[in-house]
Amino acid sequence: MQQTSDKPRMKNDIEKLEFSTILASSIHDMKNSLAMLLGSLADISSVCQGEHCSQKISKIRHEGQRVNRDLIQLLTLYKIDKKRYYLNIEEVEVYDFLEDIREEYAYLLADHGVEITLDCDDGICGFFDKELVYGVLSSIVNNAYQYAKNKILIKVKHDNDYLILSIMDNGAGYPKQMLHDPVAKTTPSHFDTGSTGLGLYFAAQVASLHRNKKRQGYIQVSNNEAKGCGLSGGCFSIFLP
Amino acid sequence: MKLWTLKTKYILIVDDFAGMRTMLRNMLSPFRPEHIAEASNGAEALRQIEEHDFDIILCDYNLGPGKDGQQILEEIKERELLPYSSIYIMTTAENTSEMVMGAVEYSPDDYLSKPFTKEVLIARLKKLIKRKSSLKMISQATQQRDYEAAIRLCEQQLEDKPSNRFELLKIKTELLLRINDYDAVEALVKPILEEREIPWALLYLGQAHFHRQDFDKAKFIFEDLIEDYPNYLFAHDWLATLHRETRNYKEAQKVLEKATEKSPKAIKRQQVLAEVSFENEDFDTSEQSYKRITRTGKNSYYISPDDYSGLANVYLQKGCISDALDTISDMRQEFKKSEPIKNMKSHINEAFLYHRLERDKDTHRCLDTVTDIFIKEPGTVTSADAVELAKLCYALDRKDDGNRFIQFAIKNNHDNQDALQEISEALESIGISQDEIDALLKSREEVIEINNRGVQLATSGKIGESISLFVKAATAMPENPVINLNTAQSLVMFMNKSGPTQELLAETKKYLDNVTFNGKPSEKYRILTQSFQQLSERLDAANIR
Repeated sequence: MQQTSDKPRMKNDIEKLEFSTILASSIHDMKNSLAMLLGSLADISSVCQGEHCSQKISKIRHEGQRVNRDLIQLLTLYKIDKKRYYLNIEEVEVYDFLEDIREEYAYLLADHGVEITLDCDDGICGFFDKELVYGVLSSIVNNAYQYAKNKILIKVKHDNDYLILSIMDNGAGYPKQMLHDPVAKTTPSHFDTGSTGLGLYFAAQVASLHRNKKRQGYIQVSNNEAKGCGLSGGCFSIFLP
Repeated sequence: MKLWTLKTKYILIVDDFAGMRTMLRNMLSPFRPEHIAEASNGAEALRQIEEHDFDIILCDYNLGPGKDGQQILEEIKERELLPYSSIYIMTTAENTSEMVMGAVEYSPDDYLSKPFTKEVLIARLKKLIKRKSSLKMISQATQQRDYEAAIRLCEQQLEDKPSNRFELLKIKTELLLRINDYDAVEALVKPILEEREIPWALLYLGQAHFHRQDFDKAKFIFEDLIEDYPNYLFAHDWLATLHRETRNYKEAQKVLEKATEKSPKAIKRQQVLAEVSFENEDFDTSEQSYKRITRTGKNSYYISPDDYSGLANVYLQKGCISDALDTISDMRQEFKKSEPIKNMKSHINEAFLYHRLERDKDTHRCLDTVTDIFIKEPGTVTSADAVELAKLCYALDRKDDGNRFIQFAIKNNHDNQDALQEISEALESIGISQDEIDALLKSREEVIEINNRGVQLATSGKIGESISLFVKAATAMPENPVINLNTAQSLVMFMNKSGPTQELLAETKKYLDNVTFNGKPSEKYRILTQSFQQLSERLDAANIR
């Protein structure tokens, strides 16, 4: 009698998925769930009464948005690292673009009494990867609102062939080591101080991906108390060639 | 100020997840939309879009089994089911930058990355509605193929230095390419490029060089583009086209392999690779490519019986007869219930494959079917197929059928010397005598006679009779531009007198759409589309009242 193998064995012919595929599909799933979660929250907040309740809800929404942004950052940074991210440079109407960001934060900022102003002429056009820069700016706005007293200003100007997008607040400003430690701008070395390190690291990566005629993008972090160019708190700028 | 509202808009929400559809509905509800439809999959979405003109379509990219959001968009664009004024927004949880750089044939008006807030959705909708209305006149002229009028409109709008300057410049360049005005393309694009290196501007400049046969310059541009923007797949496509044009098929294949690796789901590019590698006798690559098409392209509008017969031909080259036979039966199954043209094509391909396999009985059986369908619906065969079919029929002693197909091709092209020349040469090559060819070419005179009679009827006031004569003629020679235009004209004359109706307008549009041009359409076509437009507006106005 011929013996057959007693146990069904795991075959080796299962197609091995690339890690980036696994990451991408997990993130895809998580984002779908987040979309449902945030959508349901928006529904609840429209019927819920009372200041206490709505503040709690907006806190949850805010955290949900943050998780979403982090997921996108994670996937993008992974792809940049593997040299699999290709920029999609297109001409962007900057005012419209920034208005999208303002709309996204409208509910949150209103709940916290923070006012957001755009200082941008209609008709300014920029050339950049919309999705990446959106990710950068929304994470900075998100950060700024936590530190701002009651004002955030987004300022746009053209200077020396660079498009400069600056986000300022009237809070206490960036901590000293962030301004003076250049490493903090490029590597997330201070995880214990919060998410800012990774956010700025992401911003710096995104900026440096942008190139035009031998010029490369970069970011700048400063405190504005002396300059009078906007508000007196922290000021983040991304320079896009 | 009037409040912004969605009250009059017809909206379609497509998502496989009921919860998501409800959520989108809720997001829109403050703006009081009165007509919202939902679909949970591609087939359902298409059915609804066939029945209704929607103003706004919100479609999820990933819809589970069946068509995805991109395939729905491609199909409704190709079938012209989507009015130019409609807005198509793709909602997606994946990263969109990979979809936009030419990986796809058509782009939606916008992508919305999930999760998005109600505020962002509404802001986008407002912007898109505004943008569509600012481009309304241009799209209308383009749709009527009145490219010169569309160009003039672009120029007028550009004078005001609008914020969408680059968008208008891009549209204008595309229009100039359509009317083959390559010098104007270069003149327009060069100053833009001095301002900024923009991929599309470079791509169009390269195309202008290409069409002027300045292949070195074009090649330089396409290669540079690929170097700087490795994900810009249109640049790959054009470089491959250039290599094929200059007979560097091996190079063309390399470029296409790189591009398809980045966009395995883009069927059209995959089809070109399959063909090119077949030409290169790289049957392994060709097989792999055809397999990918027939497997992953099942839900794509672009899949055709040619992909199956391509694969069968690869198997024949490799000597795998049983695989070839399996593929033939797959083809028959797959297109059994599809639209008449694809169904017919599968029978035609089958006949040719059996002929290669020297299975005469099967070949005759297929040719019987093809002839039967052709007699009932001549529109299911193209002139090019008809010539090939005729050759096959003559080879198998089916002279009557051969003549039938050849006369069809001649009648379709009675006014086109180049095409007639090609047909004659094809006949000569299989040993048909000059006398016989001349006899076949006599069918041209039949067309001239019918056409003259139709025109005479129309001008002498017998429009009804003229219409029935022309409609019959257009059915028998569906590619003939003269006949199609005159059919449309007789219908327009009728409507000018007796008033437009929805049915007659649709009928007229069908004949206008049958006419194709390489570059600028004829003056007659332009005048007819203008009358057509006036008649549609007259009907709309009457309906409002």
